[in-house]
Amino acid sequence: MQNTLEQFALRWLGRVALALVLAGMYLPVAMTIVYSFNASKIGTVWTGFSLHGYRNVFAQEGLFAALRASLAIGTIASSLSVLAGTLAAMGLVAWRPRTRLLAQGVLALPLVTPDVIIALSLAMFFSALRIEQGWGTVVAAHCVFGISYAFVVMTGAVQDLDPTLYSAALDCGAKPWQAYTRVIVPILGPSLIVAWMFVFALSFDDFLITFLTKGPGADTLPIKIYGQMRFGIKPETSALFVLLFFGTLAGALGASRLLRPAHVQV
Amino acid sequence: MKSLTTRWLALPAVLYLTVLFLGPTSVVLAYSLLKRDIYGGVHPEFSGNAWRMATDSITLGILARTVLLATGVTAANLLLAYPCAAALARMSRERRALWMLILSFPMLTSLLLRTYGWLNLLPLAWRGTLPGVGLVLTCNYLPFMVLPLLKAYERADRSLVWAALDLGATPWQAFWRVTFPITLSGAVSGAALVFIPVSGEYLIPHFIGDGKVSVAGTLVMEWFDHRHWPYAAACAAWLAAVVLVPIGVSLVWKSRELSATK
Repeated sequence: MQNTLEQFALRWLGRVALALVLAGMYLPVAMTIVYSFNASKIGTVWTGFSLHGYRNVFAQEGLFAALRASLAIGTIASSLSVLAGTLAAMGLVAWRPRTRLLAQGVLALPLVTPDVIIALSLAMFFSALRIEQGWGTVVAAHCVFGISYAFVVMTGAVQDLDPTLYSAALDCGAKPWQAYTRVIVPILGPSLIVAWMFVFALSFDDFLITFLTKGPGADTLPIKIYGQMRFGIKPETSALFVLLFFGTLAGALGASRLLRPAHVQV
Repeated sequence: MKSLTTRWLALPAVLYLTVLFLGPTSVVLAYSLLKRDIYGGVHPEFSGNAWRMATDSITLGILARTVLLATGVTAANLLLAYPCAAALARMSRERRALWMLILSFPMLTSLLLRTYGWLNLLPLAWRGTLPGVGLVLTCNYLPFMVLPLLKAYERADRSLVWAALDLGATPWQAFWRVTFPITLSGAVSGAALVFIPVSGEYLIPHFIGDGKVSVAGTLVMEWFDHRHWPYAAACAAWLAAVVLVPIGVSLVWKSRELSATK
């Protein structure tokens, strides 16, 4: 090959870029792990190695109340969003092209709208209608980006679906709901799981939209951490996230065994 | 007629987002034209005051800084992601799947804790500076650029590059004349995925910027907090206008690509 030197340089360029990307993405995660072993009670400075963050983590009432709230909001918002988004993806196929394009625009718009606009507009909307903010408004707000996300993911899956399967099931004597639960849902299964996990992850980590739509005293995990940011994250908080991190890692590895990577569309 | 899909299935989602997305965004536009109420909220009385404030040199300067920041972060992401995606595309299927998992995994950890990690990592002199904020934003949005680019690489025909090299092109020429044009669609969607959220970002400029780096996101949140809702609404409308540019570009791009393949 005439260009061996240049190809050698290109290969190294790729390796260096990958190393930089890995460093940029994992260094802050590594810092969280390091600071979970901090001996300091406040956590702004490193004072020495200690395990007390892990010993005390389960005694943090407030932290676990916030964790439960985050899990509940994520589960409800994600389930509702995936349901509505999937139905929308299936129903829109039957719409006339022009109205379908319009509806697709409305459904996809929240995805390309910065969070701060969604947050501010919902806060003003609830205030204009004199709706008192609480857990309900937070779930309603999370469904805004959730439906949008689920719709976009599921549109791809529905397009790949063979419509004759449904009529085949009916011809074989299935009732419409049986055709849905026995044929359509199992085929869409992997995409449904991916959409659900995506929306759940977005909801679980959302700060801005929750911050502006929550009621007083209603804290999710990100709201709790935001409150600690100024004075230093406590080692207990870092420890909880390290446990969650490795829990998710184990779950993700398990899931990637179950769903072949080829089926997972990121 | 037995049909897999019936029209009304789409109604709940469309109605929901019409009420809870289009409704609220119209409220923002309306609020920007009303008089400020000192206790938060607005007086139902027309006032051009918020837009007079939102078109002064300070607001426009902050908007210009936002565009500069988002453009810089997008460009830095493109520069880093291209060699990455190229290296990943050369790997075997299994290794690539593993790498994609590795690259998307940090996104599942808390953004706030990662930002806190950066606060402890960054030299003190970089805090409160625009480049410092840009660096953290760049690192945070890398997967949004790498993954669409990798998809484009996977769709592209690798043998075209080998053909170019066989015909005597230098790797540099092969990249610009062959690889770049066929992966451009991935770069365009990656750029939109980075530019749009970065221009509305609040948490990273707020904490890494240490109150010294004012951008659109921090501006909106600050004035919402100061209970000047009409001005906050006007700034949010400006941000929406900024974001419409990349949305328009990628839409035009997509439709051109669609008509080209037909």
